[in-house]
Amino acid sequence: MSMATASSRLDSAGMWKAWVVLCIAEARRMGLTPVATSQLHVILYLANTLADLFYVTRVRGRVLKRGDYPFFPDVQREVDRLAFTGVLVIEHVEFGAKGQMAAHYGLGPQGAEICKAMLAHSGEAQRTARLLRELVSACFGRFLNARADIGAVDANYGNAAVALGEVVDFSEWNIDNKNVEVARYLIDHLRKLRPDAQRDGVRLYCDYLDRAMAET
Amino acid sequence: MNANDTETMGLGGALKAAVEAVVDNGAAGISVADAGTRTAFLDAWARTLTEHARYLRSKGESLSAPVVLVHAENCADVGEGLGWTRRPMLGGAPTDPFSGTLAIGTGEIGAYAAPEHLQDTNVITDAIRAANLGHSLTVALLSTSVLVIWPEGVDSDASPEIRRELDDAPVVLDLTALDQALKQFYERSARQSRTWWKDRAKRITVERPEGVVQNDLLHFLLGKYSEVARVKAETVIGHGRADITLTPMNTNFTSAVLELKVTRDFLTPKPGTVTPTACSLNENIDWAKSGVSQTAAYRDDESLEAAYLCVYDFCAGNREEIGKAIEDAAAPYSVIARRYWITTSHHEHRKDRYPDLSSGVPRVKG
Repeated sequence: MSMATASSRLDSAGMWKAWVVLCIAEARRMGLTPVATSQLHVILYLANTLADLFYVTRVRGRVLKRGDYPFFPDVQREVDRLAFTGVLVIEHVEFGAKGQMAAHYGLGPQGAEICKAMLAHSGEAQRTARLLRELVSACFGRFLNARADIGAVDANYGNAAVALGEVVDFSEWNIDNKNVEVARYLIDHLRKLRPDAQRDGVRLYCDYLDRAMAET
Repeated sequence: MNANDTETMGLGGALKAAVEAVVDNGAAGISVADAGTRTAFLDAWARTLTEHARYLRSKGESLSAPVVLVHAENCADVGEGLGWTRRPMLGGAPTDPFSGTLAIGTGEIGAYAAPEHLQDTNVITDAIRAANLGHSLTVALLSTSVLVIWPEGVDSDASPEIRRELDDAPVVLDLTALDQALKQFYERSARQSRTWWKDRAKRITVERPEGVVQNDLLHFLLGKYSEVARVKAETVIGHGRADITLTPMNTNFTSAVLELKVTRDFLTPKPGTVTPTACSLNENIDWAKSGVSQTAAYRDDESLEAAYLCVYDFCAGNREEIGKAIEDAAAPYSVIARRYWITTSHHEHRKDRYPDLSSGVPRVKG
């Protein structure tokens, strides 16, 4: 591994940790913790796809299309590290089929301090927290309490042009970020109601997911 | 569902029917403020509890005990401190059982609830005070026909409660109704306001009085109309921001923009200084009239139907000059101009309303 790649991965790991802590902190603030592993990955994925709406730099613009919902294995390792160092707390664990475990995360005291420090010193962290706050509020208020399997109906992940086992690419080098396109389509068609391009972009996309999941 | 449907729309794996359903019912998905703010909390819970009341009425049931939601910036910190029960799904559906619930929340759903079922308003008020929440925004469903909002909390004398009478008659939003609502706000919250003055005796307002008036009026209008309209503050329009906009969900109703101006005898002294700067009548008139072009431009840029200029006049003497000047300036642009005079005391209020009667000034003892 080259020095540049290793450094990039470290940067990325740090950013992921920041996003995870901010996400759990926002969920806690609204009384919505603990957040299950699947819920956390869905929020992180949606935040990355919709980051442009809030002028936030996404951490990653790609995800492997495998399973019912977007999942980032390397991010899960960072989440585990945060949990075992007390930044997050595992409030309970569910045991599923085939020995699968799903942890439900809350915010540890250290996490609260880290979050406070990030928000005090970084405009980017404030914008990211605002994006995550809208997403947490919109997703939990709708489909995410009951279901996390957004894969089939998500505009990017469910795109028939991307086969199972292939990479869903919504990075800045790829103009095909269908989630943002759906959000902008909805904003445009509801222009008469004077939507807010940022928060309503997020809310309307989540509203779409809610309705689409009810149909499947 | 045919996958080609969405491919032709260029929307990837999105389901066309669901996208169209969001467009058709989009009004409900449009926000009025950022998640977690007081405004978003008030808008969401006023609607949820109104829908809950309607649901009970449709089943011929009554509310067996009040439902009270109190806002906190971080409901987890407060709720855990009180030892209350986490209810992440509270508010998720208006058909849920709510009666007897006292809860503290931050967002549109999810809250921490007092562990016991609370039977009546006295018990709930005591519990709110015991939890030190008497000065926090509170939304309460008292029966299937009454929703009450205390913008500054149940213990605030300064800000009067907002009552929403709930029945199955449709809420109408047109110019007559809006004019009446503005008058109602003036009479109940503004004319004898205790919170808009910094020093009533010297006729000095709080700092940034327009922001304070805007906030109070926004919450009043949300309390009245959140069910039928998106009531928003600081909507970006062109190069400016409209003070308040009302966008009805029913297109038969009237959309409107409200521009708010404050006129006053003195500018509020900056912190650390004591000398107030006097504002002349002409300066106040110019300032008030500047709202005409603002509100007309907002209306025209956004194709809204009505434009209001509401001047909250803190100057002594209830003089008509400002009102006359804004009406003359507004008429050519079809702007509805209103002046609302703010009194400093009950004595001033009574003297203005009942000039031929005794002033009612209490006699000084001794």
